[in-house]
Amino acid sequence: MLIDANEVEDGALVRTDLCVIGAGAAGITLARALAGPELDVVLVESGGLTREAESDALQEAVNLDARYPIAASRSRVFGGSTSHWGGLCLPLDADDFRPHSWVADSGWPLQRADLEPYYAQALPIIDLPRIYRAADVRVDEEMHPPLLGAADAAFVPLVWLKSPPTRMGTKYRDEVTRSDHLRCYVHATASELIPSRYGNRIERLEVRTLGGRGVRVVARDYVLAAGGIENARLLLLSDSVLDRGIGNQHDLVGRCFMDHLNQVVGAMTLVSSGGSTSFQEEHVMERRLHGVDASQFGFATTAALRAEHRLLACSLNAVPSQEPDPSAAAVEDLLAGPGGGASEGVRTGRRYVLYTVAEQTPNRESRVFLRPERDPLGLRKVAVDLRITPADTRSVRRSLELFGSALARTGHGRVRIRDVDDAAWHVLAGHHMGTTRMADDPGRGVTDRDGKVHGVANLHVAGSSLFPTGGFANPTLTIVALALRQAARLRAGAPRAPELRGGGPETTNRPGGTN
Amino acid sequence: VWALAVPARRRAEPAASVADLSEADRRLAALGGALAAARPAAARALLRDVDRHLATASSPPGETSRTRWARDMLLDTARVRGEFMRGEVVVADGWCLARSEAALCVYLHALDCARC
Repeated sequence: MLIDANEVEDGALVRTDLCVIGAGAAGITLARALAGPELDVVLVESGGLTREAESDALQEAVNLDARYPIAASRSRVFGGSTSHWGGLCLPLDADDFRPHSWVADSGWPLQRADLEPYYAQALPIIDLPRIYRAADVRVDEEMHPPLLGAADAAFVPLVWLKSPPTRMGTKYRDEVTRSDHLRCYVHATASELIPSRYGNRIERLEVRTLGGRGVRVVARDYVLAAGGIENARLLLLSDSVLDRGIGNQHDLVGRCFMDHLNQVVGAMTLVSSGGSTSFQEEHVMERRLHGVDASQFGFATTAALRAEHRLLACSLNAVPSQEPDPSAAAVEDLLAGPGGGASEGVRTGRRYVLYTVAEQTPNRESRVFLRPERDPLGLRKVAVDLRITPADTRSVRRSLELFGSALARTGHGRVRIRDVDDAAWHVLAGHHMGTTRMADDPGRGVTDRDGKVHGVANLHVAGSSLFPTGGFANPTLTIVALALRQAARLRAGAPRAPELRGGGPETTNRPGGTN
Repeated sequence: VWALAVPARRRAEPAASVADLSEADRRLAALGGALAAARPAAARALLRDVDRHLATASSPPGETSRTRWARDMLLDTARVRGEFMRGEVVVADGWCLARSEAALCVYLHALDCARC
């Protein structure tokens, strides 16, 4: 059921088996997966059912680099960032999970195989078809040979999947409203997790509302799923017992903040060759397969190329361009070969804009941390200090150069590299990752491989703040898959505590409200 | 600088005798101009390449076929792919070109300058 926390009696105590903080992609997935006769779930969401200026004011951050448009990528509302996302999806590649000697702090404590079944389960949750690799897309390779092909060790073709995009707040609202085992409190801002005296268990969650109410939630387990910035913020705000905050004994909470570089980096002109009239990727685009993004195709650097050139993960994506470009026409003349342009006139190529979605280096100096300024609830605001390193941009540039060479070697076209100025690099994808990174070693991560906070028995984190490295794939599909994995592990390892069965004092406080 | 593009024996010839550039040639010349403006030393080196080829050509081209000769020689598919394989890439106005492709652009730019 849905409950407006502003209509709950001040001081109410809510008891449950599992408290999930944040109703975004991770939180809704976890709550839906776990709520049932055997497990009572409370979902705590700071926003309302629609975007509201008052709720958004609670997430205002002190942005230390105005070039990074942090506000545009956050939604404090039931549904979280799925309320504004574009819907492009890909799973992470197996190589994204591996440590790389040339990237400090790289490597997940999980492998792609650990997530594989959960990727499959995640697809329908965000309305994706049950295919998610270019290799799964059936194409006539005889007529449409792959542009660079499986034989090319440098790049693999990408076909992005496209969610409608699913607005999880809209899609799952009725289900949450009808559920007897899931109570979602909206307008309920988590203000502090209160740990036990020794900090090894969470005893309760303090919740406040802009209407002046205070609510305590007591649960057996807690899952923090409030997003890449707010997850770190709440751990740091929770400092009444542990002065550095919860899970922060190694000063890692909020560090290694990453996004995806997401910038137009060049152009590409393609010409036909080898008897084919188009390329596999273009063919896929033309077929407009259900769930495949038909507006673009792309290429990704292979693991071998990354290792050879010490690169970060990078995708180069092609969107058809209608812009007149005299220099592209000149290059198409070159591609026509001897006598081409001069004697046969201008040869029309197929022109594309190239944009990248690329990985950032995990960098401990790139971080979110608390500031003295206060939000309307009196909670300390968070400062966002996203750093882009020369290694990040060099990797994209080098990947593009190598792609240009690969395209030219195969006689398919030419690439134009755009000089991206420093300010433009700071317009990123709005994928907030890394601030509560997972690692088996507590000295290298805030949580373990299951998302459980090191040293705290009953506190888990969900969402992209867990990602130790970001790959290049948009994170939502992996966020949902990870949440499903966490749900399975919580379900398997957590017999219900008898004392938490049945209702608590809050049952007398339930309003008619928004049910 | 651009005198290098036209071998000495031809420099004294009136501009009108230099082969006219087609529309397509002028587009390539513009790319060559962009390269020369951004990296003049690299452009000079490319022109020297073309001069060497001209000097060793078994049958030097006539005035009217010079651009065609340059295209035939410099845009040879095997040559261009070989250069990409060896990483001999030159960036002109952002475009990743093989060294010979860039040389053709610079050469056409020089011809265009000489004509004006």
